[in-house]
Amino acid sequence: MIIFALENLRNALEITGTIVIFFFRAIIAAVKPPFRWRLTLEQMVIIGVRSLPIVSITSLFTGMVLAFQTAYQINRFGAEIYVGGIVAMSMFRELGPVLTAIVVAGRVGAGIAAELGSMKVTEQIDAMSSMGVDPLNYLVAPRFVATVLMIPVLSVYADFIGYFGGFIVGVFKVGLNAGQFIDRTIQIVAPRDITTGLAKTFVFGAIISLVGCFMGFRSKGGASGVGQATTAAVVLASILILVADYFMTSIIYLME
Amino acid sequence: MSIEIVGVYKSFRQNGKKQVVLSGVDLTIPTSSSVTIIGRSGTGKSVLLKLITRLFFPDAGSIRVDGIEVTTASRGSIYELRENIGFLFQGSALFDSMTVRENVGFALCERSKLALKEINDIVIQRLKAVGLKEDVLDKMPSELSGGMKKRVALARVLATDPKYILYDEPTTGLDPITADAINDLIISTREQFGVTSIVVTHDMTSAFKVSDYVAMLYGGRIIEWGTPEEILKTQNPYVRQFVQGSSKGPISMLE
Repeated sequence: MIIFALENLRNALEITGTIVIFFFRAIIAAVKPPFRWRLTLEQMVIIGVRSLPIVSITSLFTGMVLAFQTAYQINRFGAEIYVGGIVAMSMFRELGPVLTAIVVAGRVGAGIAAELGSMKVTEQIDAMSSMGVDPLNYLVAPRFVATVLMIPVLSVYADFIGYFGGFIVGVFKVGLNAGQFIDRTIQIVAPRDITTGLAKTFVFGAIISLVGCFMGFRSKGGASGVGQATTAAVVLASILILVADYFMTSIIYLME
Repeated sequence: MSIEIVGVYKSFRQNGKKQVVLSGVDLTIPTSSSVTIIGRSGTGKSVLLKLITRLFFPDAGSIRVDGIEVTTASRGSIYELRENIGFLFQGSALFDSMTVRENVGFALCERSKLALKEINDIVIQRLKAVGLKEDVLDKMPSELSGGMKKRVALARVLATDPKYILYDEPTTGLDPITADAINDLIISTREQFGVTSIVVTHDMTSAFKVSDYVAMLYGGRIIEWGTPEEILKTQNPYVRQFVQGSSKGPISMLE
């Protein structure tokens, strides 16, 4: 019993250790030359531009439902004019960054893990090493840099699409005055609300790409191994995003 | 200028259990010779090849390539060493997001300072050396047959003029005629480019055709070493059973 528990603890520590080492090595590989412009740009298109549809839909509907719920609840206090401000605050501080990160973890994190995983099980990654090219520099670094750069952009985009969704519902469905909706938003929201949300997104980007790459590099045993790696990448990245979000938010409030 | 392997141990941990793969391998590969390592599937032949280029680290023992201790060398010197060691992978391991041209030219683009034009010439020349025409240049690996993939992979290995080539089961999964064509390529590569080659296989026809020496890996050690003729006449019951391909003998099916 005790031995079993110790063995589990040992495995857990071993995996945590390998993840941490991998993260450091990946970050070092990303800042060390040669810097791969072409590959990074390619990944920025795959990760950023191609995520636009899903991020648009997610944030638009979240903003819409948020306005709906807020208006319904706040009606009891007769404070409906604040709906715009509340939607904007929630989107900018929390939902824009976190929802974008979770959705992109599902799309991009899974894609990275599956691609690198199948390269791993077909020995393409070994082949690259055997030709004297560092796979961390060639494969991981461009994905890491591209994700860290694109998640913030996508988040800001999601912030405004979500606010736009809230505006549509607030004005056309709930029947609020459009001018008042925007006025109150400007009155309540400070630039800091956007920047604190934005600060977190860099960390989310790092989590998504590094977990995806790590799981891909670790996969073994053919198609089922790649499948497991892909699932694990999405699950672990989502958990880490939520946990990291909580702690980063705590720190941000502490500083305010 | 040779590869010397002394007392190499390697084990893997799988599901918390330790699996010993190599337990004290001693092997010296003479320069410009062609050595074949035979043995059953799963006995660690491929692992041994990967240890030579440090795709894995051994648990213990020493591996020297051209006098450089692979196990303790710096990352930089390993990357330099790898330019001299070509590795032909079992499944060819062509990069499936790249064309044949990009695959064969990959190492040169990355590691050399040659101009694209020169790299392109080398690519075409190496493809010719393995019996492929220029019309494959812009094909993707998924459009090629297994035999053609092996040829492209060999061309990719030859692109950097390696001194050593490690072949991991070069004929596995190919039809007998294609397999023999690959055997011929291994021989002609050696004659044409003067490389030292290590071939890992359980294809006995291939083993006897391409090698100067044959080594048998069994139970984590090299149990026999000799010329193909010596191996054929061996008194060692383990080797004899393997060479004759019999299910009856000292090597149990359950291992």
